[in-house]
Amino acid sequence: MAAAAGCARRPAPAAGYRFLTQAEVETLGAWVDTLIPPDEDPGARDAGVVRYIDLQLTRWFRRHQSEYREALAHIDRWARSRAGRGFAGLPLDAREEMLSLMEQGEADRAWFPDGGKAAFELVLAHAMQGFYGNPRHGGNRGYASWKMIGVPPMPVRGREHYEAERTFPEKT
Amino acid sequence: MPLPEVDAVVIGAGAAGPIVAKELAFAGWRVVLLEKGRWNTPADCRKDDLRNQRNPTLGYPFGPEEEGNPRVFVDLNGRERIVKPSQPGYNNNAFCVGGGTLSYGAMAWRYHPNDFRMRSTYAAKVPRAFENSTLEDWPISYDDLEPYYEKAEWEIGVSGDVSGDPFQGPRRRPLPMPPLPPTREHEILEKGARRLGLHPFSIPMLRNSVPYNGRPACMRCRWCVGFACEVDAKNGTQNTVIPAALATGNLELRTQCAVREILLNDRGNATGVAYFDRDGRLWEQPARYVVVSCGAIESARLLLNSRSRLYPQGLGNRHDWVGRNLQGHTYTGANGLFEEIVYDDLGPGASIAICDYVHGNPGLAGGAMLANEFIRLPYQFVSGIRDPEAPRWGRAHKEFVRRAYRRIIPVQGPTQEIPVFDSRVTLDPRVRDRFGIPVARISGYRHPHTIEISEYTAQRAADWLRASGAVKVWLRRAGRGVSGGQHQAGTCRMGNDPKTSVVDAWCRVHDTDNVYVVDASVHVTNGAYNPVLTIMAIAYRAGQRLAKEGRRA
Repeated sequence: MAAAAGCARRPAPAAGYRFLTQAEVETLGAWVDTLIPPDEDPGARDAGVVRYIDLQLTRWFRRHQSEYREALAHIDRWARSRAGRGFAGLPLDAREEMLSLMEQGEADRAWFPDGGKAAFELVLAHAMQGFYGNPRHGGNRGYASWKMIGVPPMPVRGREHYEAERTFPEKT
Repeated sequence: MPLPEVDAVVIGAGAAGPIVAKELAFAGWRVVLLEKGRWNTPADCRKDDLRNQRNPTLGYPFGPEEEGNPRVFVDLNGRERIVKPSQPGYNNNAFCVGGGTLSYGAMAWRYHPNDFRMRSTYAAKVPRAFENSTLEDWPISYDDLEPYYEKAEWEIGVSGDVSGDPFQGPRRRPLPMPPLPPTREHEILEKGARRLGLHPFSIPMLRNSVPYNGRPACMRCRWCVGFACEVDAKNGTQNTVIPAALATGNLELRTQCAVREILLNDRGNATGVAYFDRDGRLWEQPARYVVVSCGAIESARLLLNSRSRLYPQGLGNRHDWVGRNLQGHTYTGANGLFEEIVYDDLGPGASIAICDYVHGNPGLAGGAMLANEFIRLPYQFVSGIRDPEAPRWGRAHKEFVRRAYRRIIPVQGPTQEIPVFDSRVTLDPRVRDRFGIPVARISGYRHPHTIEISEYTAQRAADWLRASGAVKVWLRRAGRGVSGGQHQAGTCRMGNDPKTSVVDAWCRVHDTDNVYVVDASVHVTNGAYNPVLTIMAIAYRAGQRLAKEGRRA
């Protein structure tokens, strides 16, 4: 115990994740699903956006680890103080309202000293990357977003485009 | 440790250096080509929307590496910060064999004849473009470069059809390859342009539309600009002049070698270069001639880092012109939303251009070529092209993306940049790279007249989109900060007067007998077009001259 006392204690990641804890996975899932909610097409969570962010938090986004840890804890406590329930347990409308306040920098300053702007922009950018980027980074699972907007996945090398159908069918 | 002397060492395997190396190697010179980055192949095309040379969300695949290669950027308020390659302000191009040509969009423009004589064309008509600017004529003309434009078009390989451009300078030969078949955007915009009485045509591109030079035609995927071509149909120096020069047996290409300085003797001439290899070992490569082709930011940095008793402020910098006049391009234009689907997923996307607004715009010293943009990948779309009135997130945003992604055409172009003496590259007094070499410090601003021109051409792009049937149009406008990036140019100006330029009309550094700068650094002005074909033409011209007039061992 004495040896560990000087180190910051690092909570155990959720099963199958590298950085985020189980509680954080749920809170972040609700957050990104508010930004890109499921409808006739998958939402951000089902498209693997939480996995994209988790993976990058141990790679390219390592410098954002503490921002995520803090923001996820604080949005959850803010939700509890507002509605008596954790963020992940709130209905979409309530989550949208909270994120709107953050976007405008009007979140409860007890939890977000800048009104929430920085955390909102960070998660928004990462959510869009995970949802619209390549599946190889863990997001856009099953090409969910590309199917949604109607663009094909990576072509097989040598595909003969000159013969390809020129009219792109309207999605029904 | 000194190595055996060679006839020439060329620093930088980008758009220009390999062309000079090839001309010398074909003439029997023993040449060493040093490149800081790696040699990538078509197999390194990862088609990664988040990691490419136009979107470094997860870093640059073709260099420079994120760690160990910082620069310092000074913003408009004078605040300075240390920037890594993927961060704003770095003004990156690429560090690899082929340089930008490995992953560029590959537009192959000749500059307009008036692009070489901006002072003569505009001094009387638009005096405000000359206030606080270094706008000047080149010491060479379009006609001087014409044979070398042609050589670049045929030897590197250009497709397109410019016969419909009435504004271009005279040419002796057509392009070697036909254009790719038109996209749906091309057809829509062509009708709109004709409606306005404009002159649309197929963009010249350094891309195979048919098999050429032993490599296949474009497969028309959407991962083009920013990516290495998976089928090797994009023509850069890495798959043309470099293999040709290597095949002579006279060229040695050394990758992952970072040049520290050009070594100088008491008479002020170069004796070779000192460089670090990839293991950090320091080598001396003696050479009879040194050719600097590192791009406008790194070429200036290398000259400034090469000091001697005669050049205490850096090689070629006796009159404080090295690093000055940094310019890239100010891209402005418009996005148009259409009722019908305009997107057909046929790469490279960019297909149709007009040059009606390159010169002759009322009250303005220059203009821009306007073209439809390369295919925008989905993340690029949501992060950049989105209708500013559309919501940024939530149910409505998703609905917007679903509806609009295939209904938006972006049209834009590179504005003729009015050069500014105080937009510049210097050496940072404190920050050093992983080898301990002082790094580039970038500061400056855009000339107000550049912004004025860019506003005009953005409006013309909007007109074109409306005439083509767009139901909603919004502009892409210019910022005021210094430009550089992929089109970086101007920092070692070409001129006849050693007091107001760095190199002569043949790219030789004025103060020396044997040091040349051959890349966009020498551009006096940067044209109203993508610069790469001009960079290549200047390299052929300088390389052929050096091969003929130089004295090899």
